[in-house]
Amino acid sequence: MRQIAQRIGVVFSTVIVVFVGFSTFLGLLLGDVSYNLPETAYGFAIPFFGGASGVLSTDGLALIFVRIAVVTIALTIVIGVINLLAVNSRRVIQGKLTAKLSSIIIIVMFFVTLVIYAARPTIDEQDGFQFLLENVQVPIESALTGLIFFALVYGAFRLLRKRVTLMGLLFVLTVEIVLIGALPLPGIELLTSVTDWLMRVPVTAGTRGILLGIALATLVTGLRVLIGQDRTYGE
Amino acid sequence: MEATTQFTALILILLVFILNALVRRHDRAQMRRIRAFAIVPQITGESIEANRPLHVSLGGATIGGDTTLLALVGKEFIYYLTREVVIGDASPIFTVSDTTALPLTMDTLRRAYNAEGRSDAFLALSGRWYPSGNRLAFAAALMTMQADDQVSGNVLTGRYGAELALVLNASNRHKKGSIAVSDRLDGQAVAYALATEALIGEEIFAAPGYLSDDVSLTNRNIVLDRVRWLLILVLIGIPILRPLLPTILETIGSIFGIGG
Repeated sequence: MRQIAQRIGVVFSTVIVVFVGFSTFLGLLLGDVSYNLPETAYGFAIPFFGGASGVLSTDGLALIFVRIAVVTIALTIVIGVINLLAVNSRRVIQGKLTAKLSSIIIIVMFFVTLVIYAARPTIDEQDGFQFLLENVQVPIESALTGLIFFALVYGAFRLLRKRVTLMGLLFVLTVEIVLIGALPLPGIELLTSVTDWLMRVPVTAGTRGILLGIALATLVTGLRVLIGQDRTYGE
Repeated sequence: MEATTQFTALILILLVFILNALVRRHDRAQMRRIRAFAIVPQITGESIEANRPLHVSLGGATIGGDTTLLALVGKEFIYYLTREVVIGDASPIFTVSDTTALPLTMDTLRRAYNAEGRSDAFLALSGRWYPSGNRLAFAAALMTMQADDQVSGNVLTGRYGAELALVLNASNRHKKGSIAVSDRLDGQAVAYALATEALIGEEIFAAPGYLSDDVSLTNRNIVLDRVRWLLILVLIGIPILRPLLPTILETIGSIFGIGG
């Protein structure tokens, strides 16, 4: 009995997904479709949509679905906040010392911000409230951006240490040529022109190849979800 | 919308429909070997044996934006991956940087536990949202997680930029295995250089087909391969047919009455 109920649930959700998906997709694709039906052999026009000619607005329903989606998405922020507090509260109780500390800071800062905004909702940048943002967050993020460079250099080194393959060698060699070619030094015109060529031809070709592959995969997967062959939305 | 765009979209839809119908009639085909999928048993096995959580993430992939399908496919990959892990005691940790993807994390983990008959062990807080105004904050959170939560390995799918280097670097420092992929090129390059194994581009869309026994998911990969071959033919054919293309499109457009 439970299996039958589950099957019915799957069919029901599939029908809803297919209907909503297709009507939104076609509505947004076609927009307002003007039509002009020919007179039939019996002397009358097909009486759908208000007569033999006119404009069929297919995007009305699509826009309603899009609005519902936007509202639902906006509500997920509430789930997010609850999740953030619950996860960090649990880490305060059960986590390691470093996890406890960071979670306490997150929870405290959350409530401090909440209270300040609740008390003075019209705070502007002149009030000094941006102090933490400008003097803590921005410098830390700048430092992290700088660290990315070292992580990448280490990555190139690690790539060859892990296993020396033709592709690995090519990767590291290309990185070095591009890095050196970008330097404003005299006497490296050849490297600069090689860098330009690398960026213009192989990099552009590879970029387009990867992006086309992703776009095609997105299209195929999306259509299969729309026609109910891939049910990524439930059992 | 322009008539050419409408026409191309409709032709593509028709094409995928036809290919779907054709592929469904065929037997399961052999798929090429992808190294990242070959190390999945190793990554999941380490989590169970070490009794440590496996960290999986969708990064910046969201629901409602241009990464919606990426999020859905990444979620399917993670579903089949976590099904192997949830038989152990350590619950996997599923992180996202956008709240719209948070319900996906809980649904995916719940489904994985249900599929293994362990629904009582499901913990909703295993899905975590790390707020990220820009992606560096998210990367920083994942860096600290490597030690704080003593994760056994990292599977990072979805959208990442160059900041992925920080996460993978931390993962390597703690000697954790990792699989990474990004739909952004900077993230993809970093994944290739720093992850234990990287998936390239659309290989993430093929992942469910490799990890499950579901024939429909294998068929998706076959359809994808066929469309890719057709695209190659079109790319080669367009320069040859370019002088005739406007006339052909106009003729077909006028037959079907498609107008802008």
